[in-house]
Order: sequence, then structure tokens, then C-alpha cells
Amino acid sequence: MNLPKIHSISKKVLVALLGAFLSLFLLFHASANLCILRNDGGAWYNAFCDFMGTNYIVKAFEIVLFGALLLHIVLTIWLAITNKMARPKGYHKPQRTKTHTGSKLQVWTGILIFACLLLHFMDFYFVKIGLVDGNLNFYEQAREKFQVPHIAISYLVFFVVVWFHMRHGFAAMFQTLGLYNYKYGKAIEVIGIIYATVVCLMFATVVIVTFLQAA
Amino acid sequence: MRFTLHIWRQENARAKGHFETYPIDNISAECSFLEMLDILNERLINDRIAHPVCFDNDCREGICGMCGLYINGRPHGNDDGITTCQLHMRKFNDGDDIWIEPWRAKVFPIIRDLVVDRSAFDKIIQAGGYISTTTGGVPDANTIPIPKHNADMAMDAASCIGCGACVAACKNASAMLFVGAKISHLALLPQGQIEAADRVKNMVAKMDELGFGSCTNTYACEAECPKLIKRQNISRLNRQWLGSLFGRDRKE
Repeated sequence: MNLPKIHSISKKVLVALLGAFLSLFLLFHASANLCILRNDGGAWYNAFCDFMGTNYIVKAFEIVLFGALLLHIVLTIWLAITNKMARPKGYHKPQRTKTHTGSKLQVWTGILIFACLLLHFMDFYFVKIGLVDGNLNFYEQAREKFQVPHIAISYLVFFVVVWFHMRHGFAAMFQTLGLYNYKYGKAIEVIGIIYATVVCLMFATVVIVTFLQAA
Repeated sequence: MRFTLHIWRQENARAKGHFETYPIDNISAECSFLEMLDILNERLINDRIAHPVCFDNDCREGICGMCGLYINGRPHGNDDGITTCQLHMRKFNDGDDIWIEPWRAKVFPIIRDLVVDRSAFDKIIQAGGYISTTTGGVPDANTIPIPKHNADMAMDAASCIGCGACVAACKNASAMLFVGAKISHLALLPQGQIEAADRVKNMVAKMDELGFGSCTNTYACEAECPKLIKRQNISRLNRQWLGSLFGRDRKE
């Protein structure tokens, strides 16, 4: 198979930049989700959803966002194929080197996130664009979903997977962009853990609080 | 001490390889790993059991980068910051099974048994890992002011012996730590900065062309490097490469 010639570092830099963009989007998404917790019958959250569903700038942004997600996945698969080709025959003894588990899990957490995203889209995004029938009052819909124990637990597991992916991705992005050095290396890793934890906790808080309110 | 050795045997690059088991006893705990293989080979020859096991070695004091065996799941065996020749049998338990494999990578084809062709590293160096000006005699060190920090980092990077453990350890058979070290020890010094942009472009292009994998930030290379070369050199390589896109040399 002849793949187009793009430097491996170019591909990695692109993956890193797209990952940074997607991570920032997650922070924005998590912040918006916190509106569900307001005791206003969903006024703020539905107004936000209405804005997101009707504003043309947002619609254009949606295309950029999906393009970024798709490119992030395609480039990663491309890199994974070339990496696999670099060692056609592996070792008999399993590797015993002490390494960061995050990197080894990254492909699998990525695949899991993609699978969970499809289910998430079935619940919300596909309803919004009319591909799937459902309640267009997203505040009510979110509360209904998160009150079902298996859906709430599934989402919490999803956030844990996202946490692992972001935790490794954050420091890896700095390394790939050449910004990881002796002075700030440890700080970058700690900030990555804090960022991933804050974003995932914001998502999880909405699910947990909604679930507990119903119980 | 007594061991059961499982050694990869392969006639040549095209032949099909397999593991051969050799029990060995009466080995001193103070014996080095390569001396243990020498004893095995002596017995294989004297007792006419098999062709001796081929393995690379030269200085046997950890500075030439010739030896390199994948021992029980780790390049250079179960210790940190050492080459295979510096590994001693006291690091194993009496009666252990020891699995010995060659470096595995598409770019390191097996020549015979445990000997691999690492000339891909030479090709990367030939692509730009040098300073092309004729410098004449060695100038007095004090005539070129270099910050101590830079001199230390350059020296650390220059300690790379090109053994290939980074490629062997990396799950993607990536040579980023090797190239990062070679780029760094030149780019950190004033003499190397003049050609830094071309150097990094050419060396990375050659690395990709030869078929090495790319770095996915697992840092197995850093964990297994016998000279303890740090991942920061990979970051510097990325930084230098990004800088080269804008047609200028980036000073550290």
C-alpha cells in the first residue's frame, strides 16, 4: 500500500493541535452542561441548545468540529498503520520495560470514545438534526436519560475513558509541539491531570446530581 | 549458576528463524552476559552440538554500542543504564529461563542469529548528522563561550552510542530518541546551529524514508537507553523541526 508522503512529525503535530482543539471544545461542552443543574426548569439550558441549533456561525463551527474529529481519527489510524509496518515481527517475550501506560492505552481509549460518541449522538445530536426521533426539549431529555441507572453508569464510565485519553494527550501534545523541556516537564504533566480531571468532573457532576435528584 | 537459555537462531535474513533451547551450568555469578554466551559457544563448538550463536560485541565496556540483545523482554536486560556487555549473571536467579532475541524492526534486518544490520542509523547520520565546514585544528575551548547548561545538555545527548535499544524498546520501532540526541548535541552548540534547519529536515526525511515508526510518547526508549538519554531530546527535535519549517535556525 502506497501512502502519500507526509513527514511523521507533521502528522503528529496535526494530531496534537486537533486534540488541543477538541479538548477545548470539551471544556466548553462541560461548562454548558452545568446549566442543567440550574433550578430554572431548563430555561437556560434550552435557550443555549436553541442558540446552538439555530445560529449559523455555530452551524459552520459544527462542520469544523466534526472535520477536526475526523482528521484526528484518520491521522491517528494512519500513524498506527505505519507504526505497525515498522515492526512486522514482534518479540516472543512480552515487554517488561517500565513505561507510561497512557500511551499504550491511547488507541484503545480512542476507539472506546468513538464508540461511546456514537451512542451519545444517538441520544442527543441525531435527535437535534432529525435523524432520530426523540424529545427536542434537551433539558428534559438529559434528565430522563441520566435518571436511568445503566445510562448514568455508562456515561460515568465514558468520562473515565475520556479522562485517560486527555491525561496522556495533554502532556503528549506539549512533547509533540516541542514545548516539553527539563524546566516545565513535570508542571505540564500535573496541569494535564488537573485539566482532564476538571473537565471530566464537570461532565460527571451533571450526571451524578441528576441521578441523585431522581433517587 | 544454572540457566536454561532460549536463543533465537536464524541462518540469514531470508531464512525462517526459531528458538533453540540450551541448558547451561557452572556459570559464575560474576560472569558478564556476553562471557556466558562465550562459554556457551565454546561448549557448542567443542562438543560439536551446533554452530556457535552469533551476536554483536566489541569493546565490552559499554561505550561502543555494538552489543544489543533483547533479554527477557527488555533491551540490554533487566537493569537500567547499562549495555548488554555490562549485564552480569548475578542479576538473574539460579535456574532462570532466559529468552534472548535480536532487535526487532523492519529497518534492522537480521544478518544471523542475534546480529542485526543497524546501518539505517549510519544512513540517518549521513543525511545530516555532522558539521560540514572544515574546522582545521582544535581551537582553545575558552575562545567560544557556551553556557554551562547548554554544554551539559549537549554532552548528555552526545553520549548516545547508537546501539539501537531505543528502536528495539519502542512499540513502534521509532528512532526519535536516537535522532533527537544526534540533532541536540549539534544544535545546542554554536558550531552546529548554522546548519541546524537543513540538518533536522534531512535527518527526519531519511528516518521516515527508511521506515522507522513514529513516536507515540510511550518513552520506552528513555527507560531502556543505556546512556539514560532523556525524552526532552525528542521534544527538542520536534521544536527544531517545526522551526525549520519557517526557514530559520532556532537557537536554544
